Amino acid sequence: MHYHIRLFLSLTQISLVMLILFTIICGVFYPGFVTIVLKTFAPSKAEGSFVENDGKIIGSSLIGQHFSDPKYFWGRPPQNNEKPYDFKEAQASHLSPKNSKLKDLIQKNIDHLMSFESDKNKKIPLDLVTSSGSDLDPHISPQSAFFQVDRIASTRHLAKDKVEKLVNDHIEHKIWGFLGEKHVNVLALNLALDTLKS
Amino acid sequence: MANVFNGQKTFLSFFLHPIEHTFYKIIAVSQNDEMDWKHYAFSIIIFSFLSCFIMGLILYLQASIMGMKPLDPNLIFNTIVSFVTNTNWQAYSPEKDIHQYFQVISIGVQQFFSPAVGICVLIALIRGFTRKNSTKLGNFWVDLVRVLLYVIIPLSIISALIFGFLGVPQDWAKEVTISSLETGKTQNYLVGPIASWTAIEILGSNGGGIFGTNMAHPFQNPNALTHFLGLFLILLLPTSLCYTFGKMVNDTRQGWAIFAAMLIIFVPLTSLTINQENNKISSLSSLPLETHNTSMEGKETRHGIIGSLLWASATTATSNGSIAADHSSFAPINNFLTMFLMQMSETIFGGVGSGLYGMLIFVLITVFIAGLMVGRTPEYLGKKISAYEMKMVSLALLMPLFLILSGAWILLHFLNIKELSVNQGAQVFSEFMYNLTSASNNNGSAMSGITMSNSTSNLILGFLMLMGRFWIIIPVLALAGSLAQKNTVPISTGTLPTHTPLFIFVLIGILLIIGVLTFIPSLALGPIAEHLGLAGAH
Repeated sequence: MHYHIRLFLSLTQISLVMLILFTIICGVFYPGFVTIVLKTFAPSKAEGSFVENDGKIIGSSLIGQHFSDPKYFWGRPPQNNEKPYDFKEAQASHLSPKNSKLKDLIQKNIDHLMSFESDKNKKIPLDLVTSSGSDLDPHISPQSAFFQVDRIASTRHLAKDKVEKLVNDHIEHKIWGFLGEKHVNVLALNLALDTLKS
Repeated sequence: MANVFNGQKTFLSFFLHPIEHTFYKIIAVSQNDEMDWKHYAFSIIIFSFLSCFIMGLILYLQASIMGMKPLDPNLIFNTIVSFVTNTNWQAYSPEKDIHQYFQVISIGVQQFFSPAVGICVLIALIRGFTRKNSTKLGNFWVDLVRVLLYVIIPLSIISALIFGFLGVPQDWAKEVTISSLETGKTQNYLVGPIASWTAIEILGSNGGGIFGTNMAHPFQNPNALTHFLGLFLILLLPTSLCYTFGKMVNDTRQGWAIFAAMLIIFVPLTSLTINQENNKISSLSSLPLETHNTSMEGKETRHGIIGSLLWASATTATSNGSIAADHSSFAPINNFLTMFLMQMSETIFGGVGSGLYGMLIFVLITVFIAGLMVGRTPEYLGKKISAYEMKMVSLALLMPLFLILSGAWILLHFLNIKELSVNQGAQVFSEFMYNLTSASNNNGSAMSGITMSNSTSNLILGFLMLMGRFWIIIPVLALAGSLAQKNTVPISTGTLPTHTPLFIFVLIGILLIIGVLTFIPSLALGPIAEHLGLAGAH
C-alpha cells in the first residue's frame, strides 16, 4: 500500500509539471508564434481580410452581409432576421428535409424574390432560398447572381448586359478546375456595382 | 514515426533532441525506466484526471476574471471530459460562454494532449505485439513527450501557417464593429487565434471549433483550398499510423491490409452519401426552383454538396467531429450513413491512435473467429490469442455498443426529446441517437436540430464520453501487457496469414456485422423511417 501512495504522488507531480510545461508551449508559445509570423508576412489575411471603401472598413471579404435593398445583390437568406449575419447569433437552421417549416421558409423566400420579378416563369436557384451552414456565407452561386440581374438593372436603370458582364467578371472558378464550387462574392459584387455608371 | 517511438534519430533530432532531454530532466524521468501495463494505465489515468481538474479550474475561474456569466457545473464537467477524451462535443457556445484566450489555454492545450495520449496507447499495444517475454511496455512520459515534440507540435505549426497563408485569420482576440455597405447597419466580427486553433483541431481528430458553426464558418474554412487541406489533415495521422504499425511490427503488409479494409468501407459509403443528397423531394416539385430538393440548406456555397459530404464522411469516419455543413439538414439516408460510420466503433480511420487500436481489437476478433472456423489456434503476428486476451477484447468491443444503447434508455426516461428538437417525427429520434453515438464513440459531431445542452444530458453525455474512452484504454493496455509476456510462435503452414485479401474481407465482414446488427433496430426507427417517409410522400 505504501508503494502505491508513493507512486500516486510521484505520478501526480510529473503530471502537473507536464501540464504546466505544455500549457505554456501549446497554449501560449504556439498561438503566439503563429500570430507573429502571420501578422508579419500576411498582415491583411491575418487580420481577417477586411475590405475598405473610401478609406473606411466596410466588411470582410470572407463574411457575408445582409442586403435587403432591391438595388443590391442579395446573399443567402439569414436565419436570424433581427440580427442578420451576426457572429454571436449565427447558426444553421437545423431543419430536416421533411420538415414542413423548411418548405414554408423556402416558399416565403421564393415569394419575396418573385415580388420583384416581372417574368413569373423564372426558375430560382436553390442556394438563394435556403440558408447556409454558417449563416454568414459571403457567396452565392453564379446562377443566383444572374437571377437577380433583371431586378438590379431595372432599379438602377442600367443596361442588363452591363450588369451581366459585371457578374461574369466576378465569378470565382473552381480551384485547379475541380476543387470547390463556382461562386460569386456578394459584397465585392455590390461594391463594384456602386461604381458602375449607366 | 516508427523511428520516433523506437527512440531513433529523425530529421528533427538535431535541434529537438536537447529540448527533449531537458524535459526528462525537469520531470525527473529516465528514458530507460520502462513501465508495466498497470503503471502505464495508472499514469494515463492520473494525467487525464489532473488535466480535467486544471481545465475545470480554468473554466470555473474565467467567468469571474472576465466578468462573464458563470457556467453550470454540469456544463463544465461535460466540457472538460469532452476535450480530455478527444471527443470535443461542444455543449457550450464558443462565442458566448468562454473567452477565446481561456479557450486556447484550457481547451486548446487538451487538443494537443488527447490525440497524443491516443497515440501512446496505440504504441504500447504495438509493443505488446513486438516484445517477447517482457512485462514492460515503455515509458508513458517519454512516449508523450516524443509524440508531442516530434509529431504533433511541428505538424500543427506547419499546418497553421499554411492555413494562415490560405486566408484563415490569426490575430489577438478582439471584437471588431463595422458599419456595413447598406447604410445604417452595424455588424460585429470576432477575430482571434483562428488559424492556430483550426490546425490542431483538424490534425488531432479533435473537432471542437472556435466558432459554433465550426468548419462551416468562413473564418475557419474560407475557401476550397483550406477545405481540401482540412480533409487531408483529418485523414493524415489516422492513416499514417497504419504504416507506422506495419513498420514497428517489421511487416508493412500488416499495416497495408488494415488500411485497405478501412478504405474499402470508406470510399463506397462516401460516394453513396454524395449521390443520395441529390434525390428529388416530391413535395417541393410544385415550387419554381431549379432543383427540387433542399440540398443547399445548411451548406456553404463555396463548398457545395460534394465538398460538404466529403467532409461529413471524413469527420464521422475518423473521430474528428468538426462539421462543414449542418448535419440535421442532410438527406435522412445520409444521417444513416454517417451514424453508421461512427457506430463501427470509430475504427474506419478513427481517432488519432484510438482508431487503430480500435481496429486492432476487431482484427483480433477476426483472427479468433477465422481461427475457430478452420480449427486452428488463433494467433496474430506470432502471438497466440488465449482466453484472457479475448476477455479484454470483448470488454473493449462491447463497451461503445452498451454505452449507446443504455445511455439512450436512461436519457429517454429524463427527457421529452420531442420538445427539444426543431424537427418532427423520426428525425428527432435520429438526432437523439446520432448525438449519443457521437458522444460514446468520442466523435463529437452533432445533429444540432435537437438541443442537448440541458443539465441532465450534459451529465449523462459526459459519463458516456468518459467510459467510451477509458473503458477501452484500460482493456487495451491489459491486452498489451499480457501479449508482451508471451513468446512468439514461429510461422508454420498452420498459421493463418493476416495480410491477404481473404483476411481483409473477413475483417470487413466482422466490422459490418457487429456494426449493423447491434444498431439496426435504432437505425430503422430513426433515419430509415425518415427516408422512407420522405420517399413515400407522393
